Amino acid sequence: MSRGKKSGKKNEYSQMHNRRSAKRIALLGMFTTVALIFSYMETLIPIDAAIPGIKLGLANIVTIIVLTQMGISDAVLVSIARICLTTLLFGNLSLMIYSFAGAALSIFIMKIIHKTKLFGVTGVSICGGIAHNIGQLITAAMMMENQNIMLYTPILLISGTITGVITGLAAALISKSVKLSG
Amino acid sequence: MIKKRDFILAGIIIAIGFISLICMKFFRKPGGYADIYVDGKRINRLPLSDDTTYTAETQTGTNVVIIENGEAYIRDADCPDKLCVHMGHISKKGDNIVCVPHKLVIEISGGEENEYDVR
Repeated sequence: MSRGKKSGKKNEYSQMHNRRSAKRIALLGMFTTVALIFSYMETLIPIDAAIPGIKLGLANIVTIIVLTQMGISDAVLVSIARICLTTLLFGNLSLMIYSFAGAALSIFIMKIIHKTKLFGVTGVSICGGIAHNIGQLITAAMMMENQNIMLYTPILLISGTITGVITGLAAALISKSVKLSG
Repeated sequence: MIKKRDFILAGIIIAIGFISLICMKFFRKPGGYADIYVDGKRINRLPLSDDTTYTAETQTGTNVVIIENGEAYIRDADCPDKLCVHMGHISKKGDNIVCVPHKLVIEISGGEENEYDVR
């Protein structure tokens, strides 16, 4: 968004609204709230899996919609706000770094995949889910100084794909009916 | 918005995941010891052949490690999420249980004693 003017390939949204438009700020606030609620809902659904790091990633629905319809900088802003708020409200401070690592890698990979236009929203979501898991694994391996943690990669590949399909389908359905450019 | 390719991608990644899981199952050897690391440093080594109960004390809390029938698992921990308790039993070389809040790792190592340690 902030560099939308230079890139030339502006989408309809960024053409109509500059960085400080009231609409953008309102949308960012709204998306942060929705992401926060999704994160909270996730704490209510315990997936009693044998492997840590498996979760639905409902908040990723919001990230995908913001990323594909508003741009990467807005997606980063919403994610930072969501992670800080969830940590404050129902999180654990030591787990915040894991959330940031996962989210950072996930947004970066999703942006690249989205830019290639090879895959639809679901494909973007799958890659994002896997990237999130891998980012957290790498962080864990560094924090624990133990490389064997990477042995969980195959399981997290599978779980990331399944949750990525679920959140991706939801994001695709929502994007179909909610157009921010209007 | 939803492309057929997305599901092909999903299928391929899940297949890769399962294949590597199967490979890992076959090529792993049973281990001899359960090594307990806190913050990257080994604090204890328990032989899997003896049934024992060991309480690992860390700066942030305790984990109760059980060795039983050649398997190691965490029976109880005072961490908030209890993920390590749900990680189940481990017995194969390289297997590990991780407790993120306590920076505790239990890892199965090989039976050979003169294994070099790069940590």
